[in-house]
Order: sequence, then structure tokens, then C-alpha cells
Amino acid sequence: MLGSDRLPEPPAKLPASFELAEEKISAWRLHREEDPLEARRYPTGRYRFDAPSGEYASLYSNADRLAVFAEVYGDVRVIEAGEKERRLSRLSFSQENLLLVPLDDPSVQKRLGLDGRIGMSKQYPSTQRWALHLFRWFPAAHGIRYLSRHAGENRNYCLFLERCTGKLRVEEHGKISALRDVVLLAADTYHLEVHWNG
Amino acid sequence: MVPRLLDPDIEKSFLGRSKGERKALSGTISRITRVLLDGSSEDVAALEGKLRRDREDERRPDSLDELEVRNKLRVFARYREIEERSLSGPGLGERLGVSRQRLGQLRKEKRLLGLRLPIHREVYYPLWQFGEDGRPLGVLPRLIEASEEARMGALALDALMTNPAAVDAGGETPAELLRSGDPEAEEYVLGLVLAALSGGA
Repeated sequence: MLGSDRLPEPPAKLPASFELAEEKISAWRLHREEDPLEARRYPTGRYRFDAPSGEYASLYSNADRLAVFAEVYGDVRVIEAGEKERRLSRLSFSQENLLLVPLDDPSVQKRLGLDGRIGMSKQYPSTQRWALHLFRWFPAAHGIRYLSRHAGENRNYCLFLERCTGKLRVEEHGKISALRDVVLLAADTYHLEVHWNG
Repeated sequence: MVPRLLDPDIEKSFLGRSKGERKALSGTISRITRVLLDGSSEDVAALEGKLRRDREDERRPDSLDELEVRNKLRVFARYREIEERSLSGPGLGERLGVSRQRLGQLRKEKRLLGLRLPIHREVYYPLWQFGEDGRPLGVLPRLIEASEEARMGALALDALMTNPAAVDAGGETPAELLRSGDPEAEEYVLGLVLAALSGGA
């Protein structure tokens, strides 16, 4: 099915060292839970950089208020009525900079023997094994930064939640049912469809 | 007595325009109505694209009304596109030789995916869920369960299954991968469904 497009497996040791990126992040998150920082943990990994067997909790967000809609709905393109209860929140790091594995940087990808597919491919068992290796190789990293699949240059963040405890600040913007102007603007920008009326 | 179709303020504003402007507006409304009633999904999408380009040429921010109109057209194009690539309930019943009630039962058992579209009474059944023998794919119960676990409605599941951009290179849609009958492909597609709507896909 995937043939030569298969992602390489992570090696036992970090193949080449590189610096973590320092960033004062401000990121947007669309979530179903009341608490935007509620940990997602499954017995087996489900999303791109989840831990394969629950070794850490992960939290996904995007640097842009509209692009976060593209990241969540880009594959299905429709925003159904059942999504109205989702909430939009902004996360920021309270004091120091965040340390991130910059998987959006092509030179870092090369050092790891990877390419841009690490942020694009749907071979989740592989992407999750890479994430676990990065988590272990870089104990100081707060998460992984990677490019958005649906929104061009906007960056995504997968945060290792336990390493961010007490460091994240949250600004809640409410349910998206009450943010129709934002939802419509995001839908228009990224060619999504809002299937509920205001 | 002529029924009032428009908001009184809009009607007043319409009647306050010159005869030429009223004629041009009526012509535009008539053309748009024709596309919505008789046009294909591509026609409706083209209309949305035209409105978008016209606005971009004006180089000003969108009003909420403009965003609503373009969204409605995208939604309408989706419904029309589903109609174009689906069997209606009566059509599927005839093909499978089963009653409407039986189709309902199969939907309940998650052995068929049915879509309800606004204005239409019938349920629509996208063709991608049928194998070469014309029977529903055996993987459908697992697929529909995965979509429920991901809190994905029927419309979103159908949209995902027909989106070639949702899979790794190859140009196939998730539905085509499922129809290949390859167990690895099935697991891959179930993984796509579980991860969709997460923001971490």
C-alpha cells in the first residue's frame, strides 16, 4: 500500500545532535473537554505524536487562531452541528521560553534521517515511535514543533504535558457556537463548511 | 395579494433602486436560483468561487453576511455532490431486493452508512461503501464504530472517506483503500478515522 513511501524507523541512538528551539509560544487549541489542559492519554497512541503505550500525555495546538480550525477539520472539511460545543482556548507559556524539538526545520529532519513526511504522513505507528524516541533523547524538551498539514507555514505544537505542568497559562474564548464570526472566517479561509446555523 | 418574501427593510431598499438596478438584481437572483435548483455540485462550487474572486477584487474585509453566503454555497455544493455519488433509499432497496425497513435495520446495525440531506425525504447511501459485488463492505461496522468513537457524524465520515488528500501519497481515497480488501489498508483507514477531528492528525 505505502511501498517506498514508508517512513524510516527511529534508530536506537540519536543519530546526530542538534539544539532544541527556544520559543515563547502562544498557541490555539480547539477542545471538547472543559479544561483546555486536560490530558489525553490512550492505552495505545492515537494521534500523530502520541506516546505509543501511554508513556506521556500530549496536547496539540496551533500557532494561529484560524489555522487551528484547518488542523482539526481539514481532513473532513465539514464542521457538523455536533462540533458546536467545542471550545477555543489560547495557551501561552507563563515565564521562561519553551524548549521544542524543531521538526519543522528541514536541517533537523535531515540530521534525524527524516524529511517533511514526519509531519504529514498518516503512518501513525511510525510517527508515534519517533515521538517516544525524541521524548527520551531530549529530557528537557517540552514538546515537538512541526508544520501544519492544512495551513501552510503555521506551526503545530505537540506538548509533553507532564513537562509543562504549572507553566502553561490559559485564556478561554468559549464555545465555538458563540464564535460564529471566527468559525466562518476560518471556514472561508481554509475552504471548510459550517453545517449549522448561527 | 403578493406574499412578502423579503425582510421589509430589504424590500424597501430594493424598491428604492432605479429600474435598471432592479432589473440587474432580479437577473442575478434568477441566475443564482437556477444554479441552486438545476446546477451540478461543480456549478454551485463555481458560483462560490466567483463570489470569492469578486470580493477579493474589491480588496476589503468580508462582512459576516458575505461569509454566511459563501459558506451556504459550500454546504449546498456538498449536499449536491453527495446526491450525485449516492443511491437513494428506494434505489438501493431495489438493487439489494430489500424493504425500506430492512435498510433502516442495516443502518442501525452499522452495516450501512446512510446520509440525511436537508429538504430530501429519502436517505442517501454513498456508493463507496459497496464492493464490486454490489454488497456493503464487511468492514463498515468497524468503520462506523471508529467514527462514533472519534465523535464524527455521518457527513464527516463520508467526507473523509472521499478525500484523497487525507491519505499518504498515492492519489487514492480512504474508501478506495478499503475496497482493496488489504487488511493493512483497513487498519490504516481506521487509524485515519480515529485521529481525524483531533488537531493531532
